[in-house]
Amino acid sequence: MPVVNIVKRNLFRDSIQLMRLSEDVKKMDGVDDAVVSMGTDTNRRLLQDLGLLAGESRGTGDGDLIIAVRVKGGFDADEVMGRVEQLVMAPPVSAGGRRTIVLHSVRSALDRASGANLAVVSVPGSQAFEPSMELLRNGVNVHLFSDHVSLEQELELKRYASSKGLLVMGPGAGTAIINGVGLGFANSVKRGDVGIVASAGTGIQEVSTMLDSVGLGVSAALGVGGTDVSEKIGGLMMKDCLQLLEEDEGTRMIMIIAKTPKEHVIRDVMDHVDRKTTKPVVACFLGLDPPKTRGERVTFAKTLHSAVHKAARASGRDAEGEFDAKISTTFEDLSKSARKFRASLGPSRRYVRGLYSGGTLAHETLLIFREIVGEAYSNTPLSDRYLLSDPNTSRGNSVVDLGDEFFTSGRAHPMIDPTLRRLRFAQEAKDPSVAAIMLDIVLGYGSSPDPGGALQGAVKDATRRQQKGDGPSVMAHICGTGTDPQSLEDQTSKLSASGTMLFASNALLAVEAALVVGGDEAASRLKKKWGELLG
Amino acid sequence: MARKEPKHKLLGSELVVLNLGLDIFTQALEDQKVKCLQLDLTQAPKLDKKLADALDRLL
Repeated sequence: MPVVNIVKRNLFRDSIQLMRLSEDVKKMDGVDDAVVSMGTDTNRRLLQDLGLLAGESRGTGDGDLIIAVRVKGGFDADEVMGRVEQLVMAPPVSAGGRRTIVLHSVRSALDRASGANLAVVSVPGSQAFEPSMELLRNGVNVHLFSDHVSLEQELELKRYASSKGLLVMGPGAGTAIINGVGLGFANSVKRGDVGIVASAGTGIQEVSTMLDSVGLGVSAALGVGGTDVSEKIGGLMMKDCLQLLEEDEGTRMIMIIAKTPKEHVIRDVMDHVDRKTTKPVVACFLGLDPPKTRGERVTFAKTLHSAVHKAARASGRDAEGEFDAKISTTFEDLSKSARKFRASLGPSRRYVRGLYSGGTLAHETLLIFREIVGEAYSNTPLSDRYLLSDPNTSRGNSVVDLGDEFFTSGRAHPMIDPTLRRLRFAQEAKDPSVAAIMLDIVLGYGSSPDPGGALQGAVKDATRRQQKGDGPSVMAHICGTGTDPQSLEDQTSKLSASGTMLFASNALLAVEAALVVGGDEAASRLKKKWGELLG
Repeated sequence: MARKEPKHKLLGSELVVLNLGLDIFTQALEDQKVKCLQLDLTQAPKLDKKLADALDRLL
């Protein structure tokens, strides 16, 4: 079957439009398979893996659009490509079609939406500053989903917002929950009195869904963007959000989640907590040792799992019992199942591979591995020595963040589009040194409608081979709730049916994987660190 | 003594959202019964402000 590529130079479509166009083209008469994508290195590699790359696309740049089609036998390729090109070149239409209003200025937008108090901005980062600043000047809070906004621009936006009593959540802020409404990649969680401020998107998702499962609800979850805790920004918006939660009558307890913060920024944030807040605080700074304890009001946790456990304990309600019943496990149970797993492995199967869509969850796994079994390789490693020289190829124990810029440039995030992870899963499953593949399945608004289903075939195939002694096992954590659009129960049942071992938190998944590859030595280290990591 | 007015007024207010960019987020907000206007401002940076406003008044 002939493969044809058409390249349109300097034509931009956003990642969701590209995903939809790909699906629409695949359904056309005479089309066997198709991908419409921007011409980035990652996308050209993906086309190569799918057997859809033709000579025309080899010199494309990030700003060029590729239409790649495998034409079915018996069809006239020129005629098919003519129809395909017509469809792709039509003006972009949103899922809701009529909903999008094409306007040319923020002012006109505000005239049409009087009373707007929040804007979600997900235009390309290079175009995000101007409209965001204009929105702020007009008194509108900004949830800035876009990344690639410079630190200088971020600082200017946040300084201005702070002076006006407004919020800038982002850039690169995946998640927020305000007044019970989920923004970006948020989950459907109970309303309650725990307020969260985080510089870690899937950190909010993991913590809020675990709180939900133990009967605690969220008053507000405010994602401030990963770079808020950088040297340059200095936790500016994190401190403003802490103040907001302190003043909020609906918030009784505050949780702070940060990924790889700068140490002195965290000292500054904690000074703010000491001086300006009065409510109980549970803080989790992934990648930093907890600062010195500051009395009973403020507690520190090393993992997201432990943070929720401590919040449940501090709530003074039934939540701790619920945590013990639904999430906790014992050292004995975990090590026993890991020993059983190890005994079933062939001698060559020595490594695990984590294929993550959530950056914070990947980071938590890397930290747990370092504590129990030694650092894992990654495209976002804890230390440079463990940087994967090619993010497309794993080595040893590897934890890959597929939501990292390397993989998402010019294509949808893996929480939205599972294609890239499915292909990577197949690649890892063929490696005879792999004992297990770890997955995070992140549910919620904005995510793929069926993330578990999208991987089900590949997982089933791997676990079938595993039962015959010729494939890896699959271990996963589902981050979600029963009221999420995808339904936790439905996803649990699909993944269980395909033979996946499921864990109630990402930390438990990571600990079990580390025990599987680390054996008795890892178990002995875990025993000493149990309280720190899972207590 | 009167309670101090919070600096931020977002929490507790009804959300009215402008969405500039990915329309999956508009879908999610509509599913949650939130007022949301989906906008495409991709031409905005290329136009003079007065011209942009004039064009929008014609729409």
